[in-house]
Amino acid sequence: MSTNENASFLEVKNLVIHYETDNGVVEAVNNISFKMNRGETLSLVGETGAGKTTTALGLLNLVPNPPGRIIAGEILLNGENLLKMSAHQMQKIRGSKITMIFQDPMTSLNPIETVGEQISEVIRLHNKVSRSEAAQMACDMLEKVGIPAERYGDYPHQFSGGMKQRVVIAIALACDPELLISDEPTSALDVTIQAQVLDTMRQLKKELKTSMLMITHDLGVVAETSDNVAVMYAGEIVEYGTLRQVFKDTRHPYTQALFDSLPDINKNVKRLIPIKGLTPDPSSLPNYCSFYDRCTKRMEECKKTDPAVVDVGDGHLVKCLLFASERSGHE
Amino acid sequence: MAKMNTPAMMAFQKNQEKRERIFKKKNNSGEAASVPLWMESWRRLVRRPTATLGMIIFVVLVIMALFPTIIAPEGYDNQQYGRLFQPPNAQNIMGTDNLGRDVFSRVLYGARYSMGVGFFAVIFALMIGGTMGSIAAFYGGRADSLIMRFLDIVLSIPSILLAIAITSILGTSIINLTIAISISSFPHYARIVRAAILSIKEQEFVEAARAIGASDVRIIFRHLLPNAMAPIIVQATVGLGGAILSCAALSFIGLGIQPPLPEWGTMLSTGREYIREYWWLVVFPGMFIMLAIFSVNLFGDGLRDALDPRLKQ
Repeated sequence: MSTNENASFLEVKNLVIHYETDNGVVEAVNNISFKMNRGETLSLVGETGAGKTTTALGLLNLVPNPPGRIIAGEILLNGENLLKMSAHQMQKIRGSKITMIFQDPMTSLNPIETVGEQISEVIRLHNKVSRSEAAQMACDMLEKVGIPAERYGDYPHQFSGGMKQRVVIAIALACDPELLISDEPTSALDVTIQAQVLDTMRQLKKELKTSMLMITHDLGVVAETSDNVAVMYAGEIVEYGTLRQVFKDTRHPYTQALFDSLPDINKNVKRLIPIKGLTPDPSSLPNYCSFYDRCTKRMEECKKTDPAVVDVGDGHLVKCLLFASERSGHE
Repeated sequence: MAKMNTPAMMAFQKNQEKRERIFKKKNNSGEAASVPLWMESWRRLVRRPTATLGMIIFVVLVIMALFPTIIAPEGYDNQQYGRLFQPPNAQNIMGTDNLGRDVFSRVLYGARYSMGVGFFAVIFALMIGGTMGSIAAFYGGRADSLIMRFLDIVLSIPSILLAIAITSILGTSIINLTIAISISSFPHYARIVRAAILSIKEQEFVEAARAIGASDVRIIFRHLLPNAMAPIIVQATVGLGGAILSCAALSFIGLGIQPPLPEWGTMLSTGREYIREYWWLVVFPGMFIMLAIFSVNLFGDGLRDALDPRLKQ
């Protein structure tokens, strides 16, 4: 492992997560690999059920077990495999190195503790500080996310949705984590508040040099926040690249279809183009390309093999047979 | 993003400052929200007349139980054969009993035994039941089925019979009585705690607590149990009434507190023989049993509403 500054500090290799239920095995995450560099933001985009949240929970080793199980793969944080760690070691990493913001701020705060107590809880869990020092730090955190410190003693129900999400962000960032996972942090908020919250997050991220894994299905949020984008479909990353590569040089038919289904402000269209069909049932995924049944550019060969991941240039990865030829040219 | 160059933004900023000033003022006058939880709860509790009534009666009974030596006009075993079976009068406001003892003094001393046994029985039952219920709910799976089947077995024995069996095995003493009552009632607490925690542990803040690195013990005690407090308090207060009643019942049949100690049930038991002629021997202890149970139920109900910050107006 190289120790140079730009080396990726988080590396996920061939991660496979299944949910083993009575009705069969749900293949939620299939062989995902990605790398993240310090300070950068990676977005995981995809439909409901594409395995985004499961991937995130997998990073924290919090996949509900049973029924969930991490079957294979490695998650390397600074070269250490998180999946090999003891429960106790993992506990220390959660909150201090990796932390997570959940989708719904209404329910992700403990309703009977003051917000201040909840922020100082995480500080006291990971730092050896006294109660009053932790309270002071919690006040600072509140101010940082734009909430007056006087509201330290207020309960979550006294805050609006946007402010609650700010509190959640304050809790997540209180211990200066290396990686912040945000699971659709703004989908429960209305659009103006979304912009404010995203703004706060971006500012803090820059200030604290935190890396961020943004999970969302909102391509607008992706465009606004990310450096790199990974498009997930049926538990696989079908396209991966920098924001520019994925948005301007879209390759995979699924990503293309996602963009086509969005309204474009410059075009006058009567109808959007939806993606036909539904995501395949994750408990019985086909052994060929999982997007085949909905793909507009499908070919005969698509039904024969599961396509390999192809580098179409400068680390822009696509999992589609259409580009298989480019690969041979590349190598 | 460019900020604060439009007039609208500037106006907003100005308003913001004003709002903050108002907020601070509010804070200083003590009206703002940063009041400790118990103060808020207290305010909400006294706002409810029934709860207040229950609380007052309960507090009076607790004072009786704590300081009978100061309040009571006589000792509980002060026998005076010159005044057997005196009806209530100015000297002995609840009359005297078959041995010439002052019933009022005995009722006062009796509060100590009845309420004390009830209180500690509930505490023990809550500790055993609460722990088992939380473990069952939190870990689920095999732990859950093991614990719940065990509780089913205990519950299948009628609780008063179980208590009778335990006191006959352990012998009659105040501590054994307390143990017997708590063992016969802890499955109820375990079930309530389990049900409450099952619904709470699915909420996102529990997962969020895990995501910040909280341990299982911490999650149970800081996040789950406090949120499950409302049903637990209700069960505990109803259970306190039940425990006082069980204590009285066991003493009544002679397995609890032994005479001459003036437990209310024991007093009922001895007064039973004279009930036709001397009603005051049973009416007053019986009335106090009723009052105790009545007051804890009212108080508990009010407490549940008061302790829940979400119900705040």
